[in-house]
Amino acid sequence: MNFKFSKEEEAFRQEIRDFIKKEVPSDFIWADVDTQYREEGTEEIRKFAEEMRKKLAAKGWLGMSFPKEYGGQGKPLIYDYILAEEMNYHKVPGRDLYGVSIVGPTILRLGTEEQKKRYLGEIARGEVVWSEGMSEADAGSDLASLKTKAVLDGNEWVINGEKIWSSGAHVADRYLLFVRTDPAAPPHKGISCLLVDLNNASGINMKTDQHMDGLWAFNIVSFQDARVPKDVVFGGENNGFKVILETLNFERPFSGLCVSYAKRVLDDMVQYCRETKRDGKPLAENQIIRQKLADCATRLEVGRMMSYHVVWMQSLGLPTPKESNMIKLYGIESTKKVYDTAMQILGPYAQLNEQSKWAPLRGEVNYLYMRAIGLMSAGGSLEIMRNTIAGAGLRMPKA
Amino acid sequence: MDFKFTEEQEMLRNFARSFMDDKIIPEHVRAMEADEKGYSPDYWKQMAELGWMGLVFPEAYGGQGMGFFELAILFEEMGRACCPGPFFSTTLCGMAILDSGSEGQKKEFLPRIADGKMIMSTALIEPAGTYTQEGIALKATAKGDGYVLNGTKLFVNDANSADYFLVAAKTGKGVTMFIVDAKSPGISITMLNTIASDKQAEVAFKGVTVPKANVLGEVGKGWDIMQKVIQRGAIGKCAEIVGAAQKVLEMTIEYSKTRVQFGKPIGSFQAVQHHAANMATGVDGSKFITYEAAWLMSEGEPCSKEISMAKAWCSDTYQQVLTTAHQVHGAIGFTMDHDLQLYFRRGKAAELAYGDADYHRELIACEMGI
Repeated sequence: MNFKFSKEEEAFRQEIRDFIKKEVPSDFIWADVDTQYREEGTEEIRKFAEEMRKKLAAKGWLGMSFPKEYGGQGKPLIYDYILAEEMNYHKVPGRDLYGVSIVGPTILRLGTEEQKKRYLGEIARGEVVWSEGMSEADAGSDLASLKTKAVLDGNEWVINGEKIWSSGAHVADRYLLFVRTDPAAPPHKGISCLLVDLNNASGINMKTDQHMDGLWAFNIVSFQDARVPKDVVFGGENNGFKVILETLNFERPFSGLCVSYAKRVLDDMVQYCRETKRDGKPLAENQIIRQKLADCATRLEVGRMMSYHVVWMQSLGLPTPKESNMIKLYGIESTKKVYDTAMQILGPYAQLNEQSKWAPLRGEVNYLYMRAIGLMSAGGSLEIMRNTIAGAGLRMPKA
Repeated sequence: MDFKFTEEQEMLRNFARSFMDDKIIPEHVRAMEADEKGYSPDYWKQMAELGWMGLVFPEAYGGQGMGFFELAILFEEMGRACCPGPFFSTTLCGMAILDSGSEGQKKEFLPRIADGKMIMSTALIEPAGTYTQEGIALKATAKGDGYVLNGTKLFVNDANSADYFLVAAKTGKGVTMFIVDAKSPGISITMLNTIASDKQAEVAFKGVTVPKANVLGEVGKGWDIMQKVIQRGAIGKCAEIVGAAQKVLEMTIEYSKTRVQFGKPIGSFQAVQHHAANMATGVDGSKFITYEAAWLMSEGEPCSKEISMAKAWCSDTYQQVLTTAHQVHGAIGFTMDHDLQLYFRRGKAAELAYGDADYHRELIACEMGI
């Protein structure tokens, strides 16, 4: 056991903090790394996010855990995690979670030599942003029932169908697309995964939807005789369900990262409660508020330890059927609890968004409180997490 | 970050597990609830021979020279088995003497504790019922070559079997810790009927004389010592909870696999699966926060906040784990014949010992600078 970071890891964390201090303007006020999907000033923010991505790449910080021959540094997975923690805590966009932490590791596990060289390299160089095409109108938790189909025509796949909730697809370069390639096979045995180049594809249309928190991130992605090369199939033809499971296995631990956003909110709330008087007394002297803030801090510390545990397991190559789902379940629930608590402490001011001069903490809590509702279903609903913990993790009998 | 136990730690755990599986069986636990002593002197001797009482003492004092983290592994396995007896109290006192005792005190007490020949217990809290400095009213008055103690201690564990008490007393404005011979004239012990049927007592001190040589640490500076006892007690209770909660989870999953209703094992129903998933998440969280705090303490790192976080979290979470376990077991779990009640009753005792969740959350708030 060792619950401290190594000197090298600590030094890396400090280097990231120094980098952020230097590169991020002091009047930088965005609430989280997703603010690039906001309605106003989108172009400017997106440009900043892209610049940051290039700078991170120049530092060699994107895909640090990829082997050197694929553009990485062959570092333990915890380095990627430390970077993500710091970027989240400081609310800095530019680290493409899908590419670096989800698609990249999956390609590393299941891709051909050629795919590894091409895709990992461009992720590490910060050249591309990835998005995922999983859910459909009638295939949510029951993902194996997806209907978007791809048929081989000579050297190309011809794709028809529609994906929904594809976050960030409208600004992405690459798309991890799951399609039905064998309609006759049982649902989970007729799916393939395609690595789609969105910049060089025809027959793909996107319609962006607004989240209830105000972001424009969801996309409906329609395919009408869209054509992609035959060799973009990934993980083996009709082996797409395995790719889905691998992808989610990598995605879910990183959803535990939401505890590092929430930690920032908690730290801001502690400051707010010190400075804000209600009925003549600082909020921080109120016993109930002290109990609540301490409870939030405890929940987030537990989440931090659970996250490190699953990252540690994955870095040893151990399977994490229970742990990946557990940290997603726990991370989201504890984060939600922190935002709920913060909203309660803010009282009537909690209603105000950043446009009001009365909004405390720039209206960020208001935004994140709504954002957390999206997290409850992103990457799989909490009920599916519980099913998987019980089934794959605790080996309870099949329903 | 490394979550792997060392080979030595694995061996210690395996050894403790098989000792408990072999000897500290539920029949023994039940028998000890009704037993006057509350533990088996025979098993106590065997545990001493394994070196457990002196696990964290240096070899010079008859110990094994291991760390607090290793001791926490033993606490965890004892919690898993509901192991009765004065092990927890005795080791806690031993560590306080190791920390703050004079060379003479260390030589006098530690080897005897390590040999299993001396049982000790902490006499900290009083009718005020709080783990605070203000809660200490028992008075120690200097007289001749010693002190005279007057007052009442409550919830003193294993008072019936203790040879010595570690007593927190008021001396002037401060607190002083005394090592008090349990056979001293003026001490009277009244056993309490507790939820866990453990051996807690009211210990009354009426004009009890304690020689100066038995002051632990400095006069008036006992609160620091007591705080550390509370911290070790809190994290030790967390370790017990971790072991017990894991066992309760296993019992519940096992039951849900074998109990058939509507033609299916109830563990195949999502309502029950989600209960189990929530329990498992709580148990894992308890493990990691406890291991973190115990490791930091073992390494001598600052860990006040982490200890309080662990105790606040484990106290609350174990209650949820227990009640969910009862929900899944239904009426059978509500019977005396079923082992679940052993855990439920001890769970409440562990939650309240060495500060409950509210107490520790207040300490966390202070550590957070609010």
